[in-house]
Amino acid sequence: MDRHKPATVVDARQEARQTDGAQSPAGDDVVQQAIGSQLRAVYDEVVRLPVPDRFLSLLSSLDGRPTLPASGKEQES
Amino acid sequence: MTDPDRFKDALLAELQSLRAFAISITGNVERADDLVQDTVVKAWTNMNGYTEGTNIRAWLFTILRNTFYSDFRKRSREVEDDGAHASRLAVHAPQHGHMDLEDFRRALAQLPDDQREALILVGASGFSYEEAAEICGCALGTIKSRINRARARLGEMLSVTSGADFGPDADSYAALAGADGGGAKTD
Repeated sequence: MDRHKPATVVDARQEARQTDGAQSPAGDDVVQQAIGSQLRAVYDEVVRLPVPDRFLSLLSSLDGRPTLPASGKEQES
Repeated sequence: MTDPDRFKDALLAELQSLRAFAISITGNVERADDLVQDTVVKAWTNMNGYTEGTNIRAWLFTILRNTFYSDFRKRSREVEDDGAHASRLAVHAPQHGHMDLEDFRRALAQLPDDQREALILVGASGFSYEEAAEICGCALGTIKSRINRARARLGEMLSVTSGADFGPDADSYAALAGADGGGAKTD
C-alpha cells in the first residue's frame, strides 16, 4: 500500500470503527495518532523552507562584541 | 561566558526551526522574517544570558515568543482587528505542499492561538510539556489542558470533514498562498 502520505483522521476513524465496532478509547488513540502525524507533516514542510540569504548575511555581520540595538524598528520593509 | 563562535553556529543551526515557529505564530512569512531577525539580534546581544549545555532552541523560542507578544502583536493590532488576524494565524503551506493536508491546515488555523501554539511546541517541535510551559511562561497544567483541548477540537473538526467543503473559512487559504509568494525565494 502506498504510504507516502499521513493517514487522515477520517481514515483513522473508519479503521478504528472496523476493528473496535464502536467509538472507544482505542479508536480515539488511532485518531490522535493521525492528528499527530499530520501535524508533524504540516509543520515539517514549513521547517524545511529554505532560509533566506538575509539571515546568513546577518549572522556573518555579527562580531564578537555585540553592540547592536535589540529592536529592528529601522529595518521597515 | 558564552563562546561567540559556537553560539553563532548554534544560531545558524536553529534558523529553520525559529523561522517555522515564527511563521506559525505570525501567519505571515514577511512578518515572521522580521521577527526572526529581531530574535537573532536580541539573542546575540544577550548571549551571556544563555547557559551553555541547556536547550538553546527553547531559549531562542522564548525570546522569539516574547518579542512577538511585546512588539509585533502591538504593531499588528494597529493595522487589523483581531478577528482578521486570528484567521490568518496558520502554519503556511509552501507552494509544493501536500494537498491532502489542506483540511488539516484549515482545522489547525481555527484553533485558538494559545492552543495551536502549545500543540505545535509539543507535538511538532519536540519540546517536553515542561519546556513548552517555560517557553510560554505558564503552568505545566495549563499547557497540558491547552493541548488536550486542541487535540479534542481537531478530532471533532476533522472527523466530520472530508474533501473540499470546510465552511466559510475556505477562501482564506488563497490569501495565505498569495502572501507566501512574497516571502521566501524559491525556484
